[in-house]
Amino acid sequence: MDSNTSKGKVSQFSGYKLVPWLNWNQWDDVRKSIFSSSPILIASALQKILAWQSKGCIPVAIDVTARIIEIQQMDPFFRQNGSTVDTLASEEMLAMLYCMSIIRLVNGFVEPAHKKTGRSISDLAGALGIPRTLVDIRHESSHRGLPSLKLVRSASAMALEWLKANYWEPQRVAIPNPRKEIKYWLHELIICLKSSHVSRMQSQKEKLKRAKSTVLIMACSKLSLIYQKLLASKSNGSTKHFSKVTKVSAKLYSSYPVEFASILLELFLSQASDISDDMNAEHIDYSECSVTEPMLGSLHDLKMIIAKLSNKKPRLLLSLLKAVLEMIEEMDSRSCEVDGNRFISSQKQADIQQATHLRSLVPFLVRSLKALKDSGQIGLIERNQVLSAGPTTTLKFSLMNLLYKCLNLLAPGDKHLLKSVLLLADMSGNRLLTEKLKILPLLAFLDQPPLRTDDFFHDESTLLKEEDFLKKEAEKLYLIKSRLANHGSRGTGQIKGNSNTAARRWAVTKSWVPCPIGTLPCSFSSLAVLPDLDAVEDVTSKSFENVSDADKKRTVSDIESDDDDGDHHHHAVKRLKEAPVDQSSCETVNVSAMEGQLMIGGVWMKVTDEEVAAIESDVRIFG
Amino acid sequence: MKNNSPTSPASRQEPLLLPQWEDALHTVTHFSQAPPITVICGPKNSGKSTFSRLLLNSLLERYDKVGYLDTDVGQPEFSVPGVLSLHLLDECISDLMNNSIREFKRCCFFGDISSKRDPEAYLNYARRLYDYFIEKYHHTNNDNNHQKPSLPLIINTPGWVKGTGFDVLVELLRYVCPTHVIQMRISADSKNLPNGAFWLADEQKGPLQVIELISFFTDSFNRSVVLTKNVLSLRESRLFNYFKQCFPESLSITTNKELAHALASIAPYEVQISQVNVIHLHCQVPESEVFHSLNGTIVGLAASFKRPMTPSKGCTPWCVGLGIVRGIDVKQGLLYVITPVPPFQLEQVDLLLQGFIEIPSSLLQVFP
Repeated sequence: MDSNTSKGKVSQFSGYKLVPWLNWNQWDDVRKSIFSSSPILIASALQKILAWQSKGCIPVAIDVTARIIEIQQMDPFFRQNGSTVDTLASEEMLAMLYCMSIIRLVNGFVEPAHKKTGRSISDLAGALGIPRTLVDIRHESSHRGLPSLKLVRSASAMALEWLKANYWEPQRVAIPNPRKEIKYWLHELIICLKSSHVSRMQSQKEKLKRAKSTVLIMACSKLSLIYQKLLASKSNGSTKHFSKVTKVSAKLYSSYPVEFASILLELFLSQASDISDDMNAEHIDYSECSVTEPMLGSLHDLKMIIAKLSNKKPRLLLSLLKAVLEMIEEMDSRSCEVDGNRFISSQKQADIQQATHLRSLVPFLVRSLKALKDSGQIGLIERNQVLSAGPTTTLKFSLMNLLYKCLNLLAPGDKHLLKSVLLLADMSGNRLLTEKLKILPLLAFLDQPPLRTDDFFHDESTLLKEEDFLKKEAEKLYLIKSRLANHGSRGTGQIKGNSNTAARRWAVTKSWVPCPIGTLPCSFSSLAVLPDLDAVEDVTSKSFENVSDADKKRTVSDIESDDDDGDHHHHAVKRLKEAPVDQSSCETVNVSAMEGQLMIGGVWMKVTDEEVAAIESDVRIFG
Repeated sequence: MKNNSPTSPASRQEPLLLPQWEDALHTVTHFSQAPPITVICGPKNSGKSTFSRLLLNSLLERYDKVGYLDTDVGQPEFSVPGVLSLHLLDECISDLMNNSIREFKRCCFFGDISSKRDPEAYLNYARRLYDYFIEKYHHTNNDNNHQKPSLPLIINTPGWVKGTGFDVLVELLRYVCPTHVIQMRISADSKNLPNGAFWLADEQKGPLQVIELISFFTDSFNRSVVLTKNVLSLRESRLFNYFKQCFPESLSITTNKELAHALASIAPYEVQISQVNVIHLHCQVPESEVFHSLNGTIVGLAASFKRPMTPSKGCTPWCVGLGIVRGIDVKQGLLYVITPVPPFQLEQVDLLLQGFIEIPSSLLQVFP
């Protein structure tokens, strides 16, 4: 979880050893680059190691490796194409550099043991398997004449081999790969659930027969019954096993939250695509539950796993929500690319379908979140009250940020996210917000059928109805406009305040979600994430390099639409989709939630006076 | 006069206080007309800090305020590791065996726990702080137009007294012209400093008095004494106490775990990356790697316009305190910093000084 403490190595004192790399991926990238043959990659690895060195807790093996490779880069002998740019011509100097690095290698590994045991350097080096040549060079160059360049040059290669065999390779192998383990235990969990299903199913069936009840039985009650039984019968051996598996899984989650959530989602998606027809069915008959597929759990199994685990680790729900919402976002942006193209490939179609499955999971996760919140296992973050509670085990999270993320991803007619949004608003206890969200025109989809039921039937009453409706809409628009004007006048005051704070260099962050030092809170899920620390220039240049053709087209079309002032809707929609809602606007929303914003095409956006006017004129034309 | 101080050091430490020490305290405090400038030096664990605390208490009986210049960057008395600091103290130290964080008057961020990484910069900082004190608080007798009384100064030095450490100490002693030098000596004579006024070529300096004291941590008294301090944990505890100041006193923070939690939870300061400069004091960091290097480290905070009166090459401006760069959002261009420095002072800060002050790993661990 921590940025700088990796669990790879354990020291006697605190249990953790401070390491300078962000994560093992970064370490492995450096390993690959520094041993590559590309001077550019090597240079980038050396730079990264410099950054690590500045943190002051770099392992001696990395330090020495970097120095030897740096010297080799300066040695014309190791230059493949014979270029002498940035090389050192003096053989004497090169020999001294090589010697110094070899001295540091030998001493770095032997000195601690030498101090402790007092045994001779060569003995200890021998025990460590350090080649005798290196030990001799250390001795020779410290106490006698400088060894020849040819000797120390070949010794440097030897030293690198030793470092590879004694640090880089063993460490690479020791890097934990959690995916396999997580998969294993999740499958184990599914099997447990399955077997308990089967045993309960039989008794359930008998009961059903006795009761002679109809086929329709609310699955929910059934589910909860099974769930209770699972919890209750602790004497049962299989339950014992089950609780053990749960425990291990929960532990795995806390060690590798991101991986765990993504694997769980993968399972979900692979399952969802199989029985997508049943997606919206709240009830699933257990007699249809297939036992022949032990590796894939049913949706309910998965949901039960989530429920069970999140009881132990409430954070899991946030991890899953984060993963789900990010995946939806990614798929949405991918499907956006076909905007101009009428032809939707099967891949895209699969994407859209997957996105729908993912959306269906959101309300469940939010419901579970609510349940945990109601039971007090999860707390909400109030502004500036982060500290007041002191160290508690309650997980706190920011509801508003999550709500905004969901709203942002809300597509027209998306019942699932809409449901989630309403649930979240309900959780927030902010009545005003709930009411506002409820009168969202979009919500009409939920409760009433679309207004125009029959396009061909044009009798007077429907026309009147429509006129009436449009009038009302015009009134609403007027209301929004006047509100906006109000808000605008207040807004200038705010801007004034802002300019004051802009003069301030240092300001206390307005909303903060607890996360370990070195990490940042995710803007919507309130979870700690590792920051992307590459300098901005790098990021942009990299992303431009990697941009696919479709992406490039999109960027271009955005620029074009920017020039096009005529189409306000389109323009605004695009703009808002590109820019993530910034923190400050999220913050001010608390009470005056949607003020100055309008839902256009399923997306909340700030509208200016002129834009509202433009929309209004459109309405008049229709009226 | 401060005779009514809550705890009289004499009564509390009586069994430990050697007559020789008592004499020395008395000499420095009372047998000098002008406020004394006392340098305390000697090898590691020889009782420098303890004596300086006793001397501080003793001087406070005669003076309202006492200057304390701490040049021990490894184990500073009232401040955090890695800084040289000048304090003006008006309160006795009640707990003589432990030290506490006190507010400093001026502070320089050296950025390492030993002067060996950059002896020249280290000496510059020490000289600068000394000059500041002399200019502001220590007047010679012929300056009679001063309203404020002249104050005594205690200078605490590191225990590194061999090799470069010795050279640095000599340089420092030559620069400050002390009225008294207290030289602590331990039983292992090879580790001691040379006798007498070792830093002077010829003993011509006037009112100087060198007092040699035997460390009271010796076996001849048969006391249970801690000879080897756990330096690492001492340093960590100082950082702990320093960053504890970020939180209201009502919040009870006694363990590392609690502080780690509080540090993770507190809303940090945010500052635009473009609004601050980063200086790496002791190593080169490539431009592209600055944020990798900075994230999760302890930095010195300084305001670039607060240059000292005697600007010297390679010296950074006064430091106002330490901060933890707790997170960096490169996309938004924001640095998140936790610091106990009060907002009005922080507002001027536009320099982050990065050295090698390692953040205690226990503060990075937060258990959900």
